[in-house]
Amino acid sequence: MTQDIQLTRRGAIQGVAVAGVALFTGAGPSGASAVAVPLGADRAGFLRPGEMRTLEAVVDRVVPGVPEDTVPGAVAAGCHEAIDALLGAFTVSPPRIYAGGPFSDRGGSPTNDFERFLPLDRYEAKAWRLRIEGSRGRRALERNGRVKGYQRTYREGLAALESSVPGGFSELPGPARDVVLEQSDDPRVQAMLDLAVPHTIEFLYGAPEYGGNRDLVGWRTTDFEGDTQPRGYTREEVVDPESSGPLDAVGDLVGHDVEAAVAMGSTELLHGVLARSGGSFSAVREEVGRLAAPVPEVVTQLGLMRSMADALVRDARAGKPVAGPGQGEGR
Amino acid sequence: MSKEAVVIGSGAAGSAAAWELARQGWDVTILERGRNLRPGLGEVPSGELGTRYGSDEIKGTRQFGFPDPLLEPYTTRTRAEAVQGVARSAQGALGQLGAAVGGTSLHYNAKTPRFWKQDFTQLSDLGPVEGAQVADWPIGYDDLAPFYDLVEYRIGVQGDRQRIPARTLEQSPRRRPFVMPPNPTGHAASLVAEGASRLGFEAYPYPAAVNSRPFDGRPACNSCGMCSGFGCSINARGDALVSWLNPAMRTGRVRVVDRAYVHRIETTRNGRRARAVHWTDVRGRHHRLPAGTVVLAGSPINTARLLLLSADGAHPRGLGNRSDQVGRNMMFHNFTLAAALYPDDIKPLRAQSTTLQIDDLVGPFTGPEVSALGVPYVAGGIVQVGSAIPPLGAATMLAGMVGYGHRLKQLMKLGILHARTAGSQLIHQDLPQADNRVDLDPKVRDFLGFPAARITYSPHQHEKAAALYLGARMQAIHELAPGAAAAVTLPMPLLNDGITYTAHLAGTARMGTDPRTSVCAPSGRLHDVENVYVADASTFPTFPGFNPTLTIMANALRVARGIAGRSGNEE
Repeated sequence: MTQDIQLTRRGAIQGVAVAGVALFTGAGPSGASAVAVPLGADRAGFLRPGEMRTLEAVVDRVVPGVPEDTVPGAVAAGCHEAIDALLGAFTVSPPRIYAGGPFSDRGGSPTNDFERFLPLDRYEAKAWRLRIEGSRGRRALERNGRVKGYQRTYREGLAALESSVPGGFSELPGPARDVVLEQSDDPRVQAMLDLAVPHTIEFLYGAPEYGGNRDLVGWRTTDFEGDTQPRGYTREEVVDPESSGPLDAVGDLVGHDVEAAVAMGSTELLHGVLARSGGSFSAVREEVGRLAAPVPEVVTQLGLMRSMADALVRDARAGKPVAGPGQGEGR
Repeated sequence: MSKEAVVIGSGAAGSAAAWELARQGWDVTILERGRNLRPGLGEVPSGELGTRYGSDEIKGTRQFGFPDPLLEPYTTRTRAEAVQGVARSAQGALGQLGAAVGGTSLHYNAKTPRFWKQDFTQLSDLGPVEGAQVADWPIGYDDLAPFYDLVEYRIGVQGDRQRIPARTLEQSPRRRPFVMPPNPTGHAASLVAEGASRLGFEAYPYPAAVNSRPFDGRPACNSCGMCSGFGCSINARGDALVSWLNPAMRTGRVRVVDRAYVHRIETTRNGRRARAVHWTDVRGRHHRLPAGTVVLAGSPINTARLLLLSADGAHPRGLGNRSDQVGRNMMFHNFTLAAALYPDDIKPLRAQSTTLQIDDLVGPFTGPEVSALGVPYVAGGIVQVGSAIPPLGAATMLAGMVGYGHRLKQLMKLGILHARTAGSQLIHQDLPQADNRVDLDPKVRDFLGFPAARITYSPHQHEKAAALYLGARMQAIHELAPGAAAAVTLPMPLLNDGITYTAHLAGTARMGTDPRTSVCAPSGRLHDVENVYVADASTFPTFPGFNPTLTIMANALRVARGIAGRSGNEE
């Protein structure tokens, strides 16, 4: 089911298929700092120990860790505990919904403002309580129908998942859990996964103050420099950045089905997909999938677009630009 | 008349209008549905304001500074769905702009191009387009020019006049130089610019309300790259709040009520004048605020919704809706997205979010290739050159593409979206259409019990043709970017028959001289009500392909100046 992408850093560490290690030693965010959400036994959470074991077994499949891969994944980053802290957000004050600002201590600030979560106003508290705890029969909150809430969705989904396998889901080896998750047609499991996948991603690749991304594992393994304010970058760092060297593996993506994803790195599209899907993972997949695999009629038009582009590129390479400077085309 | 106004919405339009009214001695109350996120507002100079924002992607994912889709949903459907009788096909955040004191400008990118002269005379110049309601503006570039100057000098716009092509300066003449020079150009943007130049296109620094030097007591931008969707954590951006609202509040003439949900404008018995604004607070308590003049500035969807919610005996179909024009001609800027993929880490996030623009695709374009696409012309737009999104957003899109698990992790380790991609966006002109409209959802309500806005929308054939024709150029630009391993283009209007997402909205209460085909007079005043004005982008008759905030602010100043200078027998 999975296809590994060989990570070879051309010119740098030939033949060592462990870019993660190289990235760890490269310029990355400065050292991890204390996290705001108390973890381990001190965590103000919601799930019971058994449920936590199942959740851990789920987030481990969303972003697997060592030894399947060379670098840590979602469990080492603490994503399951961060999810539990979100479910229990309203058991502490202020609720852990929005980290403070403007600076963490990773970009030169002597203090970490992210650690002090923002007090919610009445509107925000209403919205997030509803989202986490559900409408629970209160009619004023059910004008547009019942809201189930994260807590129940996780609780029911984790229970259904754990009991769907004799001996328990969390006891299975990783690849077997992949199969169970993929083949489950239990709507409770699906609903839980629709939350757990985006939440795992959120906590792995977002700021560590929310309880995930422990030791900045989500950033240090992905060539992301983290939040850099108030230091930011100098003119030289912007205009002429140092390169860590090309990765051959990028070339392997060309012509591959992920190629279309390259153009999806836009704020507008991201917000559109999130708004349409409401953040649910299967809805995100549907949205993105529709863009990547359009209907035949559109495929024909895309073909026309591509052939027009090919002609333009050919002409440009032959020294025949489509428009001279200062005139524009068609005017 | 009393020099007192109630302004609804504290974003780009509302804050600029309030500033101008206060300058002319008016007292203004602004009602804003969002929360104040800048501690010190109204109390300290803009350079000393605090912020609750940070370079924190999770906040963005959690709608910080936005309306909550559970509490204030919009509903949407395509035109085809509407014809089939589908009441709505989506419900939630689609189409939503920010909700905070200062509006969406708190987390905008501050790109501030001017519209062009030709944009104000599109119908006269190019003729009608079947199925669209193309119209000339009742004002011209020259009417807005002095306000463009004023806005640029207050919000602090960077740019390089020397590098702007001659035809652009002809189309958008500039009397004064830019306030400050451009910021350093991002490396990724430079690569795409090189690709563009191989086609004969010229990239040049994007005019932007971002400090390249200390200005207005606020520091210079340091190119952190966490701009789009983030509040600037160092206060280096000019916006509605720091440039207009806060200084206006410090005159003592302007006050803001936040978390105020306006649901009705009350008129006199004969309907000729508004006399009060009704709003509800978060607890559901009702408030009535008497008003001498009402200025609507809640952005196009909310402005239309409020006019429709304000139906009364004298205005049975809604305020200003005698001719059934309110809510029609809803326009969104669709985007065509293109990107070049690099084997190297090209640091696309190390720069002010977009440093370069290309305006060679503004058009209009005609000729056999265009005719073959079934449209009389293609009107394009500006290209935002060479950027990327940070890892949480990147992982979300990649997971949407490949699913979760090992493969997602490998792609993230490659950093293909946040480290090795230079992405660009073409901002498409969206032609106005009568059946692209906002109305009140028959069933879905907000948390206070008022009907949600429902948006029925599909792009016109022109938008699809433009996406194909200009998408080819976008693709070529990125293929020719030096060192690119691959290039991809997503012409969104072709791929999606509904709203995609954009923070650029216009239409719904267009201005014009004929009350049968427009909602507002050129002054922004409703044809039907003497003392109700629309100051936001609802008034735009067409929606040229440029980031609209500069024009929204300039037009709001123009409307406000008209209100203040009104002699009582205008028009």
